Amino acid sequence: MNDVRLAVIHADEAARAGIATRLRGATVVPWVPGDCDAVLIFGIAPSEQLFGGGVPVMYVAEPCPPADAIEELFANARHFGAPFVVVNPDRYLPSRQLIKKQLAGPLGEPGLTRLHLWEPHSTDAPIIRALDVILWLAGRRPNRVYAVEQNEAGVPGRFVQVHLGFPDGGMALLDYTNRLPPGDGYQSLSVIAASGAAYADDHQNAQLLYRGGNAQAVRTDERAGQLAAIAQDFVNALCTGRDFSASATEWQSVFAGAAAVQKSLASGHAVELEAL
Amino acid sequence: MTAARKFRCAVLSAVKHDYVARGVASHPRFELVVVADDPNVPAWAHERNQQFADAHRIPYMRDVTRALSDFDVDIAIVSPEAERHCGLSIRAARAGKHVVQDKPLATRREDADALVDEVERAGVRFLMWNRNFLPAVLHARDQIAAGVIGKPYAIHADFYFAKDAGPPRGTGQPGYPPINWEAHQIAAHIDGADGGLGREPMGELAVEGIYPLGYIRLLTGADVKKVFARSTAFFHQAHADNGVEDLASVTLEMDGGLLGSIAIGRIGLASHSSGGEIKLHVLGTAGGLVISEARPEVGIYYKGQPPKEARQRRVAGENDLLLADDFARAIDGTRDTVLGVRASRAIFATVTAALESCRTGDVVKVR
Repeated sequence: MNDVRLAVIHADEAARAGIATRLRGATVVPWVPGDCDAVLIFGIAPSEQLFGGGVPVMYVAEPCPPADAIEELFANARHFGAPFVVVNPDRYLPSRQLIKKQLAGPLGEPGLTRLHLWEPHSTDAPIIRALDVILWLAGRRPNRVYAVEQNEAGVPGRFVQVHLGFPDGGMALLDYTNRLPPGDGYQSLSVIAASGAAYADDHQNAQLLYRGGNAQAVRTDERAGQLAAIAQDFVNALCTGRDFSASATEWQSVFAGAAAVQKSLASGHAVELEAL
Repeated sequence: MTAARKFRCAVLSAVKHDYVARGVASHPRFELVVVADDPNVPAWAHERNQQFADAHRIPYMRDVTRALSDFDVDIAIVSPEAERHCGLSIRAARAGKHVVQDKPLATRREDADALVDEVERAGVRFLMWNRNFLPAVLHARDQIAAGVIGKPYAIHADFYFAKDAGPPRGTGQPGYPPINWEAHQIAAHIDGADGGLGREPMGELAVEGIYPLGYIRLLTGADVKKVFARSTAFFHQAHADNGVEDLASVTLEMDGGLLGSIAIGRIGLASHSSGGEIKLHVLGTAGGLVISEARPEVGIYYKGQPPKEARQRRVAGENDLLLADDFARAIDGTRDTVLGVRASRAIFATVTAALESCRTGDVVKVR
């Protein structure tokens, strides 16, 4: 497929324009049923009408819907014969993209992935998205899950820590809180791999601001090209005929992991996760 | 003004890390007066002890008991192979000497318990050598003590050594015998990669776990109650051949509902340009703290720089001096050292539980 006519549905016109400016090999068009090669939709779950065109659809899951809603979307897409992929936008942060590429190259197989994710408030389903990133980087599904949670009476928010074990001995740690005071959040992703390591840490990417008293650390944002990267990946996939069927399986793994986290939290035990 | 009393130190085996003895001696109140070891230790051990004694222009005696009595010793600095740690420390304590010991505390639970009993019965001070007085760790301690982040509820430590440890995993030839752990460690002494020196193979949790767990103890004062851990021999053939881990992660459940984790590994020279990423992440009721253990540091880069030379050099570190000073103050006064024998026993128990969790795949209570 060349010069894809890509319908981009985004509530923010500036974001849509930003994608159109950056996109190569495609033309961004308004969504008109029957008048596009593919549809990229941000934030709003695709309707049956949208699937009805039978063209490939990419849905950027922000906010991330629950498992049953995503399963229903895949079922609808199958019903209408529309190739369908659900993407987690976090995978398209430039730091995550770089690490993923390096894992397939000089870094080699990941052995230990560690993700700290701290927020002043809960955005949507951050643990689901974080699990997705970890499983995507690992390229496989965990077989052992242990999770602990810290709740304090009278203190809003939560702290959850998830520990994953993979069948070959690999492992991952995730800690999430939405109890930071109002202001910036914090993320740190490190991947210890067979031939090296990658460290993407807001700590390293902070600039200093002096206005009296202690200096403030101000994060340098990496999200400028994130949406365009999603669109470009979709276009590239269309042009190369990439198979979209893995998406449903990947989300099954993520939601199975999330279910195991809940089961572990409820039971206080480590939970075995069977292979799909 | 009366000068503070100077402490006379016997170095009881310098076969593993002579940095412990050198660290103690960096303080003006400590003086190395003799190196001693048992007569029946192997020739290579005598050789290393003699070299250390010669370097410090002090005698080497192949008789621990006589060295402790004849040299009017106050303190024993214990750094032999891991299996002999407790035995030498117990003998020193029984002789009424204060003890500075290298990691790990012990290789067996009963040895650790016997050491606690003997130190407490003798009423001597014990210090497990550690890194708790590095500038960044002290900064974290001070911030937390000042209440800047409120009451801590979660704490995480990453402790990676960017070091190789012999041939990479997967290089073992079919039909060849497994790498002999002790021989490998003896040979590794030349470049300082012999953290697990001893007859029994030891993984990174046992060898280095004291450091991140020591930080967590310093910053929270909490005991670990339960652990869940994963480990693997991911990098090095010596670890794979001997069934010990070079990469591990541990979930910690502590007193008062405090949660935490450590990630630890000897992850290969290529994984970091300056010795390894070591970080602390602390969450409290009023905020969070992210600490790089290496800072302050200075970047040094030049043509022809050796690959093993750190690009970021640590500066302003006084860990050795401050540890020795802490020890001196504990001897002078009534309080314990920054990492006394009971705290070290608690860390040993945490590591032991973590290793059990790695084997069983289950959550394990710390005993």
